[in-house]
Amino acid sequence: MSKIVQFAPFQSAVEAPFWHALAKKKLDIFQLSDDEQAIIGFYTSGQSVRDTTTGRSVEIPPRLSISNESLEFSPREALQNLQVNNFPAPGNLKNTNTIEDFKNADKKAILNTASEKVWQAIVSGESDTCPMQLVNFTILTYADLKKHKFYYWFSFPALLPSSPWTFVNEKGPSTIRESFSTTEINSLQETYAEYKSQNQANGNSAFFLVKRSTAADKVSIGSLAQWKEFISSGDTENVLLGFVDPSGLREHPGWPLRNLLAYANVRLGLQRVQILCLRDKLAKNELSSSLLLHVELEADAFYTDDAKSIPKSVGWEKSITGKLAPRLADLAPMMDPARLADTAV
Amino acid sequence: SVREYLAPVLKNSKFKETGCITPEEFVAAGDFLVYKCPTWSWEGGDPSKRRDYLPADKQFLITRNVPCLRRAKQMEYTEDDKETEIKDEGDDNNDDGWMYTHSDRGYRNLYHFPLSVYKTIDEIAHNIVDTEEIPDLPPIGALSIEDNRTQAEKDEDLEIDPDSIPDIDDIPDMEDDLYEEEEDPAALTTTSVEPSKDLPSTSEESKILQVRTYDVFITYDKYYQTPRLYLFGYDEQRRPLMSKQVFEDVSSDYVKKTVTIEAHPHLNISLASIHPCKHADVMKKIIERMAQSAKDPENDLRVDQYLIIFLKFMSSVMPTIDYDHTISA
Repeated sequence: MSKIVQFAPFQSAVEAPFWHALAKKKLDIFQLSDDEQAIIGFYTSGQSVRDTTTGRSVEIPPRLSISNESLEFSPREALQNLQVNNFPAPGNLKNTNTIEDFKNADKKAILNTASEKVWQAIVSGESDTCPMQLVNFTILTYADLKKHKFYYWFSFPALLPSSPWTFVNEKGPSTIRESFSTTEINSLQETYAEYKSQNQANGNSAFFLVKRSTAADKVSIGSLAQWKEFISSGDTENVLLGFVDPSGLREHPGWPLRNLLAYANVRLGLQRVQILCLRDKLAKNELSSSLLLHVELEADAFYTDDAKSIPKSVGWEKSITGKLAPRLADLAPMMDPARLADTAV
Repeated sequence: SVREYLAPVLKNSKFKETGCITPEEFVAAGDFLVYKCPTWSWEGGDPSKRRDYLPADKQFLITRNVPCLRRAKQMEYTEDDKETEIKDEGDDNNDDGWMYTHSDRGYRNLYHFPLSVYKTIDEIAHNIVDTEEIPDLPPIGALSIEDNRTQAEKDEDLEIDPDSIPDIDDIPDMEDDLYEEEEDPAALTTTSVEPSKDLPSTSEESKILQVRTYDVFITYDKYYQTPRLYLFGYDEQRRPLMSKQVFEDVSSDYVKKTVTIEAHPHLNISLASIHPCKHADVMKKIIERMAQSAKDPENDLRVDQYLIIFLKFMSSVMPTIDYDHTISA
């Protein structure tokens, strides 16, 4: 059997100031409302760091972060204020009023709503021009303001095909150096930097098309919407789907690829696809640690067999123990005025 | 470029004489750091806490999710553990100097840097971390830093509530109605790796390494006229670290002396901070040493490189928090 492509799930990374911002919003604005709020999360390209003791390279798993700015800014402002090395993920925050509401929230329904949003963006063609919708997330929270405890549970919806994507050849991922010449990598760095600077402001620099022109030893980059133009010469062999890969793991691409593959299959009609997992070392436009994948879906596999239904999906983040369960951030030591007074200098 | 734009402004800087920098110089040095190391960025913080001597969108610097692979005491040298208390000649009654014990990573880089560099200004940020290429040199002379705070003040820093460590068990009945999801063979499973154990090799599949991470902040301290470093840590499961746990990542000699828990000047959290009372002295001495060993006075140190050197100095305080990779090429 062919080797299954395994994706590294996002690990949620809530910055402590986010909880303070949530407490303030809850008191001043949300009050008793538990309506969903649109927020912007962010991720960086996958990294590996050198362990200074052993000299070995340590691969860093993908993270999706939210900060106080995710709440304090409107989604539009948050997009504009995003740091150059961060890529946006649109999400929804649902803050419940009681611990019971938190526990009893319909997890399946929440996931389905989010998955449907991703699905609609794909089939409607909206993600051609706004591909960041492929990295949707939801966060369910309950803020115990008296005890400064915050219960939370992230969901990163991923659409599932009826049987998993597999590697075309047994070897699995290859590094970009194995396939691209140095001139091509340089050309990629140059053209991607330009593409990124043009698309940073609209939040769509994380998904793109890459076309290799082997004769000229050059690559060109375009948006997903340019698919027809890119394949017009019939040269599909040399067109790749590219995405900024939050995973730094050698064997495993990050979570956003799952919905990009759904897009490739459903919107572009591809059963076999070449992927560029773009990894920008230290945000310095140094792309030589990027990966190439050649993956396929079995001929009789499908996302949905009925035009009206949406595919199955997964997404709730596992807890520390590996179970599907929520997490707790206890900020009493950092936020409780009484305890703060103790440590004040 | 950024550097050209900045250069003329900084002509009459006093940083070499005092080790201090002005807010303008802090911004210039911050711009240079961001330019050299894009994982650092400026932030504006809480508008109500804005300092008017800094631009609204450049109140402090931040680098997020810096991995911390093991605890500081695991870095301690077993042999060759030369305790180099660095003292000034003629400073006898100092019982409390900055200790450069097992902090060789930061210390050695810092002191070997000027001898090997000064090729071009552009190479400085790279060479400052290229320890491998720098031969071992005999220890150089003494620096002395005192901690003037009283014993009570120092003790205060160490007070930690042992009950304050959060526990997932605190979540009541959460696993009663376990929610089930679709089978998903395409999801990589997660596993936690104890920092004391050997790190998994890169070829090991289906395992995700989980490590402590830090958000590192640099603010400008108006009183001491130096940068000031704050650390906020998260454990392997992204729960905020308690102060006691943060102290595990600080070189033991500094824990008792210079690391305190304080409110962030621009955010609504309290977190560990390296007390800046001696920063100017140390920076001044480092700068002097670098100047002495500079062969070509034309390639003198510029103030916009201040933060890169400052961070190198700080890495002796927290040897395991590896933001250095942000500086290397």
